[in-house]
Amino acid sequence: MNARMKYEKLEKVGEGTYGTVFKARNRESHDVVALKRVRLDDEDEGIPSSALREIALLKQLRHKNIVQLLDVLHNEKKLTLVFEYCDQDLKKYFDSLNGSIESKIVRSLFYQLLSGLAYCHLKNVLHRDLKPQNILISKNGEVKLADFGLARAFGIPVRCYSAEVVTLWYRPPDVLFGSKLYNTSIDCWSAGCIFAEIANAGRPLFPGSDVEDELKRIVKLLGTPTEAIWPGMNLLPEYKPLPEYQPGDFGVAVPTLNDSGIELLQRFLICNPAKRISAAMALKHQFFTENDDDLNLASL
Amino acid sequence: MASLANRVNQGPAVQPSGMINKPNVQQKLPTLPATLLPSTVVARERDSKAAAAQILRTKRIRIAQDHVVRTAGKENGCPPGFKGRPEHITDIYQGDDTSEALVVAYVEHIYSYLHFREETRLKQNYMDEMSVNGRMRAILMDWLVSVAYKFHMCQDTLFLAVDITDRFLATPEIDVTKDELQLVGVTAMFIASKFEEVYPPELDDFVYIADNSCTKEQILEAEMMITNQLNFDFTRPSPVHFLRRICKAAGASTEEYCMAKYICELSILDITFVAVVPSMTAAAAMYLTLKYYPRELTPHLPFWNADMQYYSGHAEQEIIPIATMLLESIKIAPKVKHQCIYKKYGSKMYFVADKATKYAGSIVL
Repeated sequence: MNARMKYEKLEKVGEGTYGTVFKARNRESHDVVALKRVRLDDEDEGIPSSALREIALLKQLRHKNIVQLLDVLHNEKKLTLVFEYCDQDLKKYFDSLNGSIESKIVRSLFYQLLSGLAYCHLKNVLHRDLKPQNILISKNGEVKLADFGLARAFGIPVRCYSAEVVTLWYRPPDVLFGSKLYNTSIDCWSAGCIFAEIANAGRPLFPGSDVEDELKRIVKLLGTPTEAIWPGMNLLPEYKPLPEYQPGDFGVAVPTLNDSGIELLQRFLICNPAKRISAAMALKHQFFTENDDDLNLASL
Repeated sequence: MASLANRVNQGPAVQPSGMINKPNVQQKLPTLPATLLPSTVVARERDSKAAAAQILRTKRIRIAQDHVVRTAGKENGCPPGFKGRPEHITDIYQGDDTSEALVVAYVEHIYSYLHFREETRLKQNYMDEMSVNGRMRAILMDWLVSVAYKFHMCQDTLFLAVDITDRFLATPEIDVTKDELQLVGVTAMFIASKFEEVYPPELDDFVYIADNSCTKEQILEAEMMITNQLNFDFTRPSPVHFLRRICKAAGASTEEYCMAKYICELSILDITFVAVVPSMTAAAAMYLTLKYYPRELTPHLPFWNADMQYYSGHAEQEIIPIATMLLESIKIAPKVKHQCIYKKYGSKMYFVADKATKYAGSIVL
């Protein structure tokens, strides 16, 4: 089936890791979908590995907080991935906030993000590129993890993977130091950074300009890690000693978060990956249980 | 490949458009790297194997639910009822404090998922009505082993390539001929490496390694056919996934791990193993390994006790028929035509293959 026969393109909505994304309508059912088009004719390596992984992994994942891959259309010249359509991503949502956000929306957005992430991890999948642009929000306030172009299945114990993953601002210290033995903890660091960014209505927590600046921003808030609290740190491939900082004030970094929120954030933002909280554990945290609001839908 | 495409039934939405009309390049397709001699594989008791496979199918670790993962369990058929590790089973991950161990929180659940995913297997006689047979398959697989070795690919890639090859060959609508086997194999390897490797070799490298017996265009066409036929399902568990855990449970040394990997890899050559679940192949490989390195010398390490049964997912009496098959493969490894695996593990890097064959006679199951 030809993509053009089945779907009517409405507008271009962006560029993904490896292709253009269009909003489109199914000609028969009239459902609105997102089409991600991967051109193959100028790609002499066949199907890009990112597309191959995204399709294979998303076919294994079905969860309300993960974007659903509805269909894959394939011909000689291009590959079209058909996704459920979401109106906006977290980044665009931030832009609409004008600097303030209700605490119950913060809780709901982060809870849903973690639900999707815990599910991925239980299914043996690392996302490896969590950032607001890759987190979609549907009309009725459902969070959906998207863009699995960098994702991969992991083994236990993990093999060596590439260190060239995760957008700089959301990249954990161990990966900044060149570690290739990361696992689910890589996504949990990113989740922590995004948590703070949500609480601050869209102000990124560690907007570093390069690896060195990124590390400096991190240790300014967390304090400089020592070999005692992070054994093996100085053996990492690109380890460089960092300036000595005492831990900064989280109350200043994320002023709107309550005590349990700050406690939870601190469990994510731990330099030593082995000590970082898992997404599944975090879902049970007091921050989510101390209120009885419905966490599964953010009424935006 | 055009001829391969022509034989596909006009199934719904699987036929890449435009493919059929492509000018049929009448090029002689890949010749396989060896003569197809009569099999030296000893005839085996198919009935006991079928029985073993049946046990595998009916028996599963039952796992109960943790409230956090309830949604995960409900959707996409994750095994319901995640109980996790029973009290009397040793926690082999306890005390692990490296970053590797972080997944511990998920590890029991992930393995129950992998056991669930491994259930679907092919029939060991899937080639019966086909133009190709088990011997040709063995030659192809042996060649894939050599390709993986030359490209320094990880074992996950090799097992994935084997899995892709078998599942594609087993597609009812397609009857691959002997001349097309190598193209299917090299393309399976091309796909597997893009999925698993950090730096996959380039398409040109695959054309080169196949001795220019197929063109870039043919591999790209085959890639499209294979991904469509298999519906992009490249995330199936392989014996490697399970072997790592079983080795940990056994407290295996590096040499023992290597031996177990060797034995697992030998299973690739034998078509019977397409019907055996990968966790069983891994369990049987470890079981044999423990026979080679008797635990009498290291009594603090387990043989096939409750821990080993739990972490492998299989009991001793179910493993023995599979281990018997693998032991047979070990015995004949240096004698068969296709022996890339034997040579690879017999080289300086590994030395277990010789040892395995040498002492095979003294192993009693």
